Amino acid sequence: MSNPIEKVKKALLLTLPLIIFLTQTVAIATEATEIHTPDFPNYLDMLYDYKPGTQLNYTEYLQLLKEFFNSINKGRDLEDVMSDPNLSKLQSLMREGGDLDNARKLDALMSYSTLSSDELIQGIRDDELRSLIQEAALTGNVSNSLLNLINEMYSSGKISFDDYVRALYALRNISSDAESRKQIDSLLLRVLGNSLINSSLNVLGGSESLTQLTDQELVRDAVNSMLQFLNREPEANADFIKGLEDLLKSSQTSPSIPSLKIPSAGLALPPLTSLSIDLGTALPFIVLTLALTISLVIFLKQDKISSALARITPRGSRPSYGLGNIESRIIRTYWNSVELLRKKVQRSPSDTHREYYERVSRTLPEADSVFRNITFAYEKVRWGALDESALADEVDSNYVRLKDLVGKS
Amino acid sequence: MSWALVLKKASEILVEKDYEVRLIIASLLAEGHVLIEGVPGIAKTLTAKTVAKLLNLDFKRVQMTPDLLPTDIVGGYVYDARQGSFTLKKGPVFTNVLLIDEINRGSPRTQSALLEAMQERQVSIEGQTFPLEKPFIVLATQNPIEFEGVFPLPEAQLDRFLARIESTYTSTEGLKRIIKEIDQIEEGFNALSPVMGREEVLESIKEVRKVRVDDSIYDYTVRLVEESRKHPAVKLGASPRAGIALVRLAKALAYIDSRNYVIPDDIKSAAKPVLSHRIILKPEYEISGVNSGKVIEDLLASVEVPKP
Repeated sequence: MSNPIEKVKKALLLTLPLIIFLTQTVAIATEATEIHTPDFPNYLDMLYDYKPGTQLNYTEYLQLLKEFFNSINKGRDLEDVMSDPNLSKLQSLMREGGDLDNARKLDALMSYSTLSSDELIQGIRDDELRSLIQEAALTGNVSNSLLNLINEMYSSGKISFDDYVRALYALRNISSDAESRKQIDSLLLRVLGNSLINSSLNVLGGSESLTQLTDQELVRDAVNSMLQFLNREPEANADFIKGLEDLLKSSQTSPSIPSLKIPSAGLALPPLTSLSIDLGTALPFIVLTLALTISLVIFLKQDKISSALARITPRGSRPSYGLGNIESRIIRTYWNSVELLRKKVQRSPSDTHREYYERVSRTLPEADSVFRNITFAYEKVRWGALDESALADEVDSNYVRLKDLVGKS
Repeated sequence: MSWALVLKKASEILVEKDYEVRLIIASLLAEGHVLIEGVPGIAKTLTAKTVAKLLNLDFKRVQMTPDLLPTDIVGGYVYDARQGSFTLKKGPVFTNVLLIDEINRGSPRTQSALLEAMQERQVSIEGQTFPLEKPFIVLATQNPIEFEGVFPLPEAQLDRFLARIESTYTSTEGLKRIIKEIDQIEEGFNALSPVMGREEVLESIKEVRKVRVDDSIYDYTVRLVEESRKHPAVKLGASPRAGIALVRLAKALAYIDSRNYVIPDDIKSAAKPVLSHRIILKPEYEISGVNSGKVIEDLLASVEVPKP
């Protein structure tokens, strides 16, 4: 019967020896400097206390941010910015810092800059936006109202980031007017800057490692360069400004006491090389593990073990067959036959007389015929309320034969 | 009356369907209905037709579809232009053996109309009641693997079926025999002549009621029903109706076995077909692979049979 207790028992049986074994092997691995199998990926370390940005090289990230924003603030044009190799480095650091969303946005900004107008327009998913850009492509005219409309569509969430960037790049390619191109470039730079700032807040915000950096001046410089970028934007994101100001404040305070780290030994496996343990040391643990496992098996399988023992040990007292007031000779003879056969073929309380006969027939084929006669006579008398006078003598003689057969076998 | 001959004749046509035929005949004699669960193409229709033909009973088949209306089953009054009046057109329910294919494809309204006919053994058309001819048995089939476009029978309606048969594929040898001998099987079916008639079936139904049931058999049945409610995997155990059905089917099985008394083995044989569709399991057990068949096996293995 599969019930929750059975499942708990099974789970205990399976896990307890494993836990005991692993705990002991870790305890005896005196120098677990390398806790993994050689060449096993090291990111498992991150699973113990993973936090985005924990493994990041902050100094490099901040340096790149500082340089990049300083260059934008100095008025670099869009094409120059997009082809800057530092942008790709920043993107990979963003990925390392766990900010995949902004890394993907940066990827879109860089890759769409090389596409043609037609490719860009075809990729726009929003029908309305696509038709607007197609109309502009026909006329070659990119009006301020069109740009405002697209900005509004993006800020209201009607169009996706991808569509927005595709639309801006498409309009940039279409436009023959220098003023319009300049306006679009500044929009694209704003999108790029916002993505980088958003990402930096995600990666740096609340990071303990940041406060532990020795070069706090670098933190301040990078944040200041981002703030400077935002300040020159007409509609700078207030959340970004607040976030950066908070970072600035935290960099001016003294580094906080590092939080207590729980050693990550736990259930970590020792390196393969440390498995060559001294047998003398390991023996007590192996014996303990084996003893516990055997105890558990005995505990869980006690029913089966006791029934197996019952089969190989001499019979105990005769089970009750409820024959107290039964006067029928045939019924009594049947149960006497069962008692006789019980030494050879066990009868379960849930077995019917026919099921028991089938088992006797298989186990003691020599007794098949006589026990069959007794069983079916019993059936007729017990369940069919048949008058037993005609059958009693025959059943008696069958019982005598059965005794002989069982005695011989 | 030789029911053994009916079983033998059926086994000459139907390959490895002895269990199904035995249960269908037992259900017919116990005045119950049968739900046959099985995938398409395993001779469910042929089994029903063979039983009807051997017993010389009228047979009709209805293929359930979502747009089938209750009047398509029970019938209704239709306008006769020649006579200028409405005349009664009886539906397929007016038969002895009614095969309902894919009952769970029918709308709940149509299912209810049918199940009402099964329970009451009469139908009402335009306020007029028409009793159904005896014997009357519904053999409803459903595909256990279909979940889309079906209306599963509610528990209360499933309880109306005396027995549920899980019809399975034949063995490899059986399949080979079917494929090899399909022409002979079809010819054999067409040439099949009745072994008995309607009157003899009705007489047998009366005799089944007289089959002796020892008091300890009732106790055993009660213990099985009560234990089914205590099983850890069971959310809803067997109902009193299930207990009644258990004894009724056991009596019919005993009768087919040429006995006029029930033995515990009959109750055990009836347990799975009678209880399997009436026991509702807890979802966590169902997910872990426990089914009602397993629960019934547990019950039969744990409840003590009557002694001495």
